[in-house]
Amino acid sequence: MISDQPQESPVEPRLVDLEAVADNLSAALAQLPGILRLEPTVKSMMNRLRALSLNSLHRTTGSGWQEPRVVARDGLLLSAAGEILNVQIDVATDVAHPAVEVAETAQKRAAEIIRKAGLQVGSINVTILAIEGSPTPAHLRSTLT
Amino acid sequence: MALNDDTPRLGCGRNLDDLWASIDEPPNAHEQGCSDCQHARTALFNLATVTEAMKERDLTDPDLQPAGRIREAIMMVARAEIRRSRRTALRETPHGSIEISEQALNSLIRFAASTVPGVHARRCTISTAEGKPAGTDTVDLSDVRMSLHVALSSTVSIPPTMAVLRERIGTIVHAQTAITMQQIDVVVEDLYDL
Repeated sequence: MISDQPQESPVEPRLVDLEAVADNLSAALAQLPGILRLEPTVKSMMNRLRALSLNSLHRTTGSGWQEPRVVARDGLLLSAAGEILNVQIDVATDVAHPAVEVAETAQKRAAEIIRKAGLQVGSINVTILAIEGSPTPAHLRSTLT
Repeated sequence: MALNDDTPRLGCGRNLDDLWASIDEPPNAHEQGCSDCQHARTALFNLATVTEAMKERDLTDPDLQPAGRIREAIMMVARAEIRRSRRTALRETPHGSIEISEQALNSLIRFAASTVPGVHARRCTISTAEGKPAGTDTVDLSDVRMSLHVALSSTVSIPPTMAVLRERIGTIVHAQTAITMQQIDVVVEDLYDL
């Protein structure tokens, strides 16, 4: 049936699983050239423990589960404010890659993943907590060029 | 009372939050004569007592202590965080900030020193301005100074080795972080035989 009435797009509730976004971010960032690992911090660790404790509590009491607004992984802290997702990334980088460029690449990759998840990109802050590597000739060449 | 007022109220119509706010004060004239308020006060006191007891158990009951493995993991991360010291803002991009820890900068300088034959890096300190002691503030990117103590091989000539060392530190730190060192002090505190 063809109607003359303008059709309104149906309003559908959208659920974004922050845990899945965190897993995707964690895996994608760890694979970026120059990132040795995502470094855990006290803040990310405590948020992770808090989430685990709350999940355990909800399972024990049978109370309704609420979507977490803060999700943490080692070296990652995601906090959602409505549709906007803010991310803190803490990394250890390889001395063979310019640390500041690795950090910028990490920001861009994180922004792509957040957009793909259907969220708006808030702030993506990166902290280089460690730079590691031994002075091999290859390292030296790449660092000095 | 508004129909859409969802505030929990006692049988006498009093807002429960108001009673909770004055729970530490003596009962007022209304509460002294109101059975609803008196019952609620007693219940809230019991709740406070139970909460205190649970908080006490959290501290003393061995079954409620965090597992040794978890405690050790937290302490390990906490100790690492202390070693990382201050942070320097390197760059502000459209996405957000990029910072580096003082420990990372320190290890970069040691790495640079280790690429110069005959040089063994020892202590390294980073400061922002002459005479300004290291504290908990962030490092001022426009005025980064460093002091490196080294031990040198007795076979190298000190002046040219120092020139190479300074050049190498400045180049590697800039390539990695875009920081231009304002001052690189090197102290030769020991000589060693190969």
